[in-house]
Formats: sequence, structure tokens, C-alpha cells
Amino acid sequence: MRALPHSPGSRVASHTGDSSLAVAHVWDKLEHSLHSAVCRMTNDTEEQEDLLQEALVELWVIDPTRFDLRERADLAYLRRLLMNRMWDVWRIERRLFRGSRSRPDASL
Amino acid sequence: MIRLSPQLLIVTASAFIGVGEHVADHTEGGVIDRFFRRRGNATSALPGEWDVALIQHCGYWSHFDHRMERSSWPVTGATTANELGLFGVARGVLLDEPEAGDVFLQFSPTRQAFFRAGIVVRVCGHGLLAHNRTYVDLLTIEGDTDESGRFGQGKTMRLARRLSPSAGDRFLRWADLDVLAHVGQRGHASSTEIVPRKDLL
Repeated sequence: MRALPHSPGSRVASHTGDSSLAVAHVWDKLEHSLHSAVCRMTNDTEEQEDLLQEALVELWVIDPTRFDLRERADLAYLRRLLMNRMWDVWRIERRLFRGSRSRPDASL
Repeated sequence: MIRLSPQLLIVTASAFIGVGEHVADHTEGGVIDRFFRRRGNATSALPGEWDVALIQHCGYWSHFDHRMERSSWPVTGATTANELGLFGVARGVLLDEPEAGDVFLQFSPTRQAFFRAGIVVRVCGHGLLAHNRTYVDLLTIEGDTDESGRFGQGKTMRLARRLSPSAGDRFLRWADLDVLAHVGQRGHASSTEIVPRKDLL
């Protein structure tokens, strides 16, 4: 997210971190359950990927370091936020494309 | 008395970068144990969390006058990030724009309270996220974290961190507290004020 001017492997680098790396840690923990949920929302694999992408962006915006990730309750809350985001996007898309059986071609 | 200086806090905290909590070595008298003893009231904090303890240790000793045998660090007493927030509100120094040397307080939506604190080393930038949510990119020094900035991970790190005043994050501008006024207020503390412990002076 925010490059810092120090050479990799240096003493400074070994003691300098980036809170955006936490997104990957948390995504590893939540991806499986989010994927299961999104499979129940739609059978369209492309739409599933889009919804998961929305959840990942939302996770980055929320900043998972805002939560105590050792706490189950915090993880559950975070999962609920991401689920809500996916449901919101899913509903909006349904409203936009109501009547059409499939989503429009993404290339259009 | 040493005048309040953000640079003194930053320099002192920098000396602890890389210092971590080694569970096997966490014997009485160790570095982390020393932070906890400085806190005074360890029972009010969750066990194992020492982000605020690091700030208190660095703040106290960076402003310790060895001739006068006392420290001018004004934020004594607070043992949790939320207590730091209460202190900031009571003194009118809790702000939403950071400066180097401020103590940042990160807000937790699940606890509805500040739950983490660290030291702002540099303000790298500002911006807007979706829904007009403001953010600031910072370089910080934090205790009890890791390379990805997660809480309770046992290391002191230098971190690039993005905070969002729109999400409740705030900054304690402790350097704005006037030392003489602070000393003058002793003995007239309101119920919300954190009174310096005499045994720490």
C-alpha cells in the first residue's frame, strides 16, 4: 500500500511492517466461509468471483487491524460485514438487471 | 523540568523497535514485565496487551529529568487506549488530524471504544475513501503487534498504517498540554481526570 524507502533485507526492513498486509491474513481465515455463502447466493461462477472481490475490497477499506483477530466475536463481526456487502451488491445487481436471466457481458 | 517534546518520545520509542515479547523469556524483570510495572494498575488492562505500556514507558523516561528526579510526561495513569482517549477528551487534546509525536488511538467498532494505541512518527498523506470516509497514511511505532499490524502479536514494530478519523480514530496531542498548568491542577482533579501517581514521580 505505502512503499517505504529502505532496501529489502536491511535492518530497517526487518523491523518495518505494513498494516495492509493484515488483509491477506484475515482473507485466508474468512475466504472459505465467504465462498460457501456466495455459492448459495448464485450459481454463476463469474458472479461469485465478483462478489468475493467486492468482499475483499470492503475488507481492505474496513481495515482488519481495527479488530482483535484473536477474538472469535471480532472475526464473526467482520465476516458479517463482508457478507452484508456481498448481499448488498447482489441485490443491486438483481435490481439493475431484473428481467434478464443472465448478467450482461462484462466486456460491454 | 524537561519541556514536552514529540521528538523525545519518538527517539525513545525508536530504541525499542525490534524488541519483542519472547514468551519463554518472559520472566519477572524482563523488558515487557518492566513496561507493565510502570503502568501501575495492570489489573485494569487485558492480560498480555502492552501497546499503551510501551507508550507510557517511553513517555515517562523520555521526559525524565535526572536532576529533578521527576518526569514531565503528562499522560500518567492511563493503562488502556480508551483511558488515553478519556484523558484526551478531559484535557481537550483529542484531535482528528495527526502530527508527528501524537499518540494515535484506533477505534474498534465491536468494542465501541479505542482499543489500540501507538506513536505517530510521520504523517505520509491524506485522502478519501468511498462514502467520503477520510483516511491518513502514517508511519508509526507500536508495541504488541507484528509485521502486518495485528494486535497482540508481541513485537515492537515500525509500521505503515492507514487510520480513518471517519471511522472514529483519534490523535492525542499530549505535547500541547502545558506542564505548569498540569502541575497547577494537581489536587483539583475532577472525577474524570487521571491523577498522576505519586509513587511514579
